[in-house]
Amino acid sequence: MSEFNIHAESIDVEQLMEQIRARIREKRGVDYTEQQIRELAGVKLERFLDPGNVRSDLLDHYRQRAEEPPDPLRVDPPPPSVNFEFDGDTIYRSSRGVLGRIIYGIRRLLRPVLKLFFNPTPIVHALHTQQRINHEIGRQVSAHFDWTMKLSEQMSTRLKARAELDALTYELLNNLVVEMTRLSIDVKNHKMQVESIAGRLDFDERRARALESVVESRTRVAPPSERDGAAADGPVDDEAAGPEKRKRRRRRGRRRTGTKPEAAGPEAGGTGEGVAADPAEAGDAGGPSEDTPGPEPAPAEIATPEPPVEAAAGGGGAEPLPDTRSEASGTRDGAPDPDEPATR
Amino acid sequence: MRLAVIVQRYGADLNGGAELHARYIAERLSRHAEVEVFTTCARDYVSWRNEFPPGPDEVNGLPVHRFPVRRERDPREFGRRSARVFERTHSLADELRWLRSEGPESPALVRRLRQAAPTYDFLLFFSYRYYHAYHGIRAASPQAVLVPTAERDPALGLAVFGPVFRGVRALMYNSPEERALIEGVSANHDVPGVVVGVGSEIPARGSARRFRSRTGIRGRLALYVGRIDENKGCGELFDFFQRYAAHVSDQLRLVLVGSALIDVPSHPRIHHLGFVSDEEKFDALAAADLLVMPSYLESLSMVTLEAWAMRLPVLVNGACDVLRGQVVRSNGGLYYTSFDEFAEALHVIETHPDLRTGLAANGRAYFDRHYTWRTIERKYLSMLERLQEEDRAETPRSIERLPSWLGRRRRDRPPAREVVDALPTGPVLDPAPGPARRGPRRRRAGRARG
Repeated sequence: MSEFNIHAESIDVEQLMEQIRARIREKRGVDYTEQQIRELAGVKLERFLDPGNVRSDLLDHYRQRAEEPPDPLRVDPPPPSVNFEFDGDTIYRSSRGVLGRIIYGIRRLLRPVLKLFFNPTPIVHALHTQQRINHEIGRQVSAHFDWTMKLSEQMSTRLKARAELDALTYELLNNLVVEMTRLSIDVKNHKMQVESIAGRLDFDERRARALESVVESRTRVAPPSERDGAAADGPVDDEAAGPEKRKRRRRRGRRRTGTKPEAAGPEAGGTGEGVAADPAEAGDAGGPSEDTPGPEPAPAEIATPEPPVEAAAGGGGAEPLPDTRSEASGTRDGAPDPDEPATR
Repeated sequence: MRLAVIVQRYGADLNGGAELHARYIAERLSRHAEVEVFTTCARDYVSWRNEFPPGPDEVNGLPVHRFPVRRERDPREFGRRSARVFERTHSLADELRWLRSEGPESPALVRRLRQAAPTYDFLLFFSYRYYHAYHGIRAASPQAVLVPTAERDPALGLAVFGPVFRGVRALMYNSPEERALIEGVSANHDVPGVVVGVGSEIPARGSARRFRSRTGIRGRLALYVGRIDENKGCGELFDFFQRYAAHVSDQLRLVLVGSALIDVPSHPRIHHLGFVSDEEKFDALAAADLLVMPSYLESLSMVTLEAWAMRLPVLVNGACDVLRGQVVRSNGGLYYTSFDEFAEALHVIETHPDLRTGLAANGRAYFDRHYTWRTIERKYLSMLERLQEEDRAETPRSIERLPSWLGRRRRDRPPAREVVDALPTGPVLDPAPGPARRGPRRRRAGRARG
């Protein structure tokens, strides 16, 4: 967020919001630090004690469950439904016990009189037909109900199987995501290691060429006796050049711009061996930065102050060189480099 | 010029958005015209209980006529009728019943308006969705000017309001987004309208020191002013801020000003001050680093304008078209539509003083350009003068008549929510200047969400 690009004098809110969205996209994409990735993965993978430990038979299990055929649907015939009874006398009956029977008798007696006013036969017929229709519909509804119940049971079984399958899928996908995250971090670290080694190799080649040219020029210029003396005094002269020169060389450690310290990983910047004890590492510390490639340095400028043997033995007052690994990966542990100049 | 202001509630101590808006406008216009206020006896906008005595009254020197509300609102009935007209196909009669159940039902007020309308040049109605505005405008449409204070809520999609929007003499909108909504729902492009809004009484300067000594709150502050309610987006604000405080910033504090209708979380960096006086509010604005406005629905956020007047950047909810349109047009703040955007935008404002200053300066310039009282008064007066000119030139139109008894009972009105959902969304990015721009404006297609 600190890298946000803002020009306060000409604020355009939509443009700012675009920057904010781009920033969010960037964070959601590959710009997560390792810690953030682990935090995110940890939130989603709480169930798994060791997300990296992928089950060896998971895929087989998954395939087997996916290929299981569903059970066929079977529907048994439904039982007949209950319907009300209706006949030609129903409309004259009463449900009031003894009184009802008396009422029923009176109605039967008066039926001929009733028929003078209207004909109840079609009504009775219609109601009787309706009774049959009701019966049929009730039967169908009952059948559908049973069928639906059976279907829901089967669906429930399938859903249960589906849920188990989903859990396996979820486990598989999450394991894959975690593995992919881990691999991407490894790839990033390996890339940095390759860059570091390539830089060292490049510098070693240039230093070898420079040393060869120094030896060649001295062989051409000095007589054999003086040449021996010069070779013996060489390191002393370089020491006399002062600590400033040595300090400058130490500052020029490799630093990759735009690489976050968290992303560098513990392997970033070298093998972790002691640099002062390793001539090649010592030379790397004093070499030119990859970020500032310049013209090939003159032989006198890049000549190593102490011969490797002396440096390794600690003779000649040679100071132990700073750990180039720390410089290459920035302040990885968060501690400032004491030799880091303020202007860098 | 004689003007009447008609609003559902009125009082010096009432702080509802539309009511305060109406009072400010009435008091300001009284410097240029003879103004009287017509309102109900209600104080509570939920129950509409009669609390003020009916009859003449006076508030800050303005004559006020109060009329009793016939019946209080029955929340269950109102909820049932709302569900019917918002969610189902219904009839015009259903909508009229909904309007009555919403209230404040005051037939005496409407009768008085019908009688008194010819004695006024114009009647300024506030809040389209209430009983007094609908029936009042129907009773006095030749003089009616409407300040709709509309939001994107389902009531806007009710068919009864279409003739109202088309039948008034003019509309005084709060924002280009509100204008686009109303034009979209009622096709009232030929009705004069102007985006005005409202000004605010800004003190010469608030005192940050007074605020800090009174409250004891130190450090960087994000301020929220308003009702602390779920509908105002406060629940989401609490959630977002707590996550922000836990993961992004260990400095910023959230200060809440206003009465709480929901629980304020107990958090060491969330401070609730309750309802405060105007002086304390402006002191808080002076002490804050930014204003947060999480509301989803606003027709015009007065407190956002006050923040800009006090040279404060704002962070608003981008889901609210009006707020988002305001910050985009003013370049006076940022907006968010998700937690990620909230966190990034808040962090950027918090950690970039130059940006804060720039946003605040833009906000102040926007306020000076559009929302000073001089500008507001000029817009009102020029619109009213223009309407007077039209009165002299032509006969004012009358409002559309209601359908017949049977027509009102025909169930052919679509659910109001569907109507509103079909309206275009997003902020209006290029509102044309001028008091009465007509015709459809270009809208951003769709709403960008994070």
